[in-house]
Amino acid sequence: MTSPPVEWTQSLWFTEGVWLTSMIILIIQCSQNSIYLFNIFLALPEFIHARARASRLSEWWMITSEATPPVSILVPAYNEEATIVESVRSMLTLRYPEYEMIIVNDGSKDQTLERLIAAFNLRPVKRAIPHRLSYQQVLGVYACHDLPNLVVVDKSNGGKADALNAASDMASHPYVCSVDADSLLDSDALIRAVRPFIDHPETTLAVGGTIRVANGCTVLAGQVLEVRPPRHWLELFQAVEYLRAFLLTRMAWTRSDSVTIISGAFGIFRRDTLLELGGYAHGTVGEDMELVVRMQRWAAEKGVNHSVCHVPDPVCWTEAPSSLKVLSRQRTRWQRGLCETLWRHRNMLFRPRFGRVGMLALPSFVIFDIISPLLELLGLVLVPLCYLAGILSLDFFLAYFAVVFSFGMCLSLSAMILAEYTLEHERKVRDLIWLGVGAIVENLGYRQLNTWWRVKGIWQFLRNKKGWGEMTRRGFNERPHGG
Amino acid sequence: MKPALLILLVISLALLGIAVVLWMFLLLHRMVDNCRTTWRKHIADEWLERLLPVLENLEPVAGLPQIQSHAKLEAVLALVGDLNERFRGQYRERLKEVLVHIGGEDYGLKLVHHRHAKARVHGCALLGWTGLNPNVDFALEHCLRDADGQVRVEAAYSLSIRQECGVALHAVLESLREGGCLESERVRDIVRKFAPTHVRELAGLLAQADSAREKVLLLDAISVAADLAQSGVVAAQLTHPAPSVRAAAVRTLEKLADPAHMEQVAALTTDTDPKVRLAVAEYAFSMGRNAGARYLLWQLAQDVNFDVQRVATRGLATLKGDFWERLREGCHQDALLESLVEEALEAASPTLVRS
Repeated sequence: MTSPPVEWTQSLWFTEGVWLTSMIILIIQCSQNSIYLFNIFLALPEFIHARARASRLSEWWMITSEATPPVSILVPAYNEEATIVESVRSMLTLRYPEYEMIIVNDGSKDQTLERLIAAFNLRPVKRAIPHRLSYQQVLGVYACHDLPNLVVVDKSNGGKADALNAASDMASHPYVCSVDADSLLDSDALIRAVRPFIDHPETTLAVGGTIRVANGCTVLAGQVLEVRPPRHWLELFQAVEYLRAFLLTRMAWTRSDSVTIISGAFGIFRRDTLLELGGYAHGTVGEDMELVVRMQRWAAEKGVNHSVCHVPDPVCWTEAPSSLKVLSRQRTRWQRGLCETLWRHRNMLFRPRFGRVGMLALPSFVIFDIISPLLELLGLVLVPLCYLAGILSLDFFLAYFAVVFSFGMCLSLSAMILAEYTLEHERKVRDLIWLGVGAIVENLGYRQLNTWWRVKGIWQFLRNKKGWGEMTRRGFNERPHGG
Repeated sequence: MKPALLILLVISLALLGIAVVLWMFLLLHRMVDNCRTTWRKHIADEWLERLLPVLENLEPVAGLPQIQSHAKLEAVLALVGDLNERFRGQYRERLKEVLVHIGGEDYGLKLVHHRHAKARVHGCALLGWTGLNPNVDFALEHCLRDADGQVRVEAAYSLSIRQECGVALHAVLESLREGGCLESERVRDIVRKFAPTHVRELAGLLAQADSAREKVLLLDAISVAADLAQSGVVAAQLTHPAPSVRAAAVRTLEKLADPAHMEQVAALTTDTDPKVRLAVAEYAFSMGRNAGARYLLWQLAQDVNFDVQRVATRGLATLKGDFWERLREGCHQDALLESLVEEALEAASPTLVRS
């Protein structure tokens, strides 16, 4: 039989093992937080650069100039009856000289198509379908007299990537912009997002816009009338997280020329490149990241002088999940998507041929988004238990939690401060106080929960789980401030 | 406590403390900024009331008060800029007088010598709206030699909208060749604005230009100038090695409505680049009255590129004639072509839904 627990926990190898593991966890946490802090400093000049570009290329000039390229907006929709009409109306109010909208009903089981037909008086039309990309059968194409730039495609269900491929194939403009059906675009979002394509039309392959949480805002007729932070804690944490983890990080990547994610909710791509790449990949839930990584890979292999960037001022509003159950599904899916992309492109890792993407961006995903959550979770369980068992000292316990909580709070607050200082999203002081409170409190449970969902996502990836899981929506008009 | 752990603890808490202090500063900054915004709005409202009768010629410009502070001047200049853009030149001449009267021109002349490039860009933009003044033209031409590319682009833009300045286009292009400035689509707009008054210069520059990008910009500008006499110079670019130049040359001939070089354009129906073939299809569509153009469309309707096929098919459907009938009869073996013909038929019919 084995020795009693008290004896083996006091053995030298066990104590040394725990100490070593805890130190590794602490070092990883410290370096992760330091890199995040460094990212904030890296993002700052990019914000300034974006602001200077915005003042040079004024919206009025872009609206009236023939230099502004026409864009096809692609909207995949699956069971979006709650928000689809409002989303399309929001996009119809875009201030942009020339654009078309292609809405793809991806075999919805609800009334998505019927609502669109009724709301916009659509009629079936004949459209040639070239099938340059792979997607499920198109059942019908609808359009209307009054809105010649609106096209609705009805097709068999094949997933988001499949729907986006169908839309890309049918698009007629040189740039395509993918937008989620459950999102609302600011009326100036598109004109602001194409600025890099105006500045560098030959080399810019893709541009991502900022995604913000619409919960709490006043929405009317598809437009965000009043910007307010969410009242509900869970939604508030996500609003802060969107600033910290998505906006700031992507601005830092833009600075270091290593953007590997453009959110599927709002991204613009060159159509010829998209077609050459074969469109969005099937069989992954992280099709947005996979496409950008593949694009970076293609450009590096072909020796194409290119840039993929993120612009902070165009805003796409999204409805953040308001229940833990739905949020958990979303986050585990995102993590699976990340794992799938990293696995598909594993041979890009640490290869100088792929530049900063191969040497910097992808390895940092592996370290900080795959390995780190596992260690973080282990640390969150191991350190208090070992402290209680007397294996770890109070000093270590305090230092560990100072790194986890104080550093985390510092990062969340700093990210919020930088984003709000440069972009001035929230005009009211009380809203800034509320966001700051959210930035502090999100470290006391929410981030740890996120770590758990990430680990769960990794586990689901290892078990080869597929599919998106159901995402229930309330719609933009049913919120407390909803108007 | 071990020193390393103690240092870690102190650093973490200190960073949190700094973040909290910065948060407080942000709150303070936002309060001050909100007050400033309210003040600027107030100034803008006040000046809008003063400016409207002046712009409508109901009151003299001299009746407007002088502005002393820079902050107030900036607020009024923002309003003037807004009016200039929104009314698209309706009040332009009157606004020029207002700018001089309130000291906007002097302010712009000061800004172009500022040490920060952003301020110089702002100064150039401001001088672009002002009226005839050799000092302004001189200052803008001086900015064409600025070390910062964005300042040069903004100076060139301002010169392009000041039609009377008499600056040579080659001087503008020369200033934009360095630092990748030509790459920007804003430069396309600049060259286009110079086009109507610099047609001969455009042709000369096109013949001399080395870079493909510069040739594309000049060809585009010639199409805006719409001088058919330049078609020979344009046609000479149809054999340029860069596909972007060949495509731009075809598009320019299309805009010039030049049927004289159709044979040379027809040779590009087998070009390796689909963008060139697409330009040929668009050219042939616009030359539709010509039987040769309809033959080109018929050829291109069977192209391997879908976009080329679509333009050609739609062109034939609009123009009708023998080649359209031949295409309709022969399309049944090719499902995609057949669907393109159906789509084109529907699009060409005014009674059906246009997509």
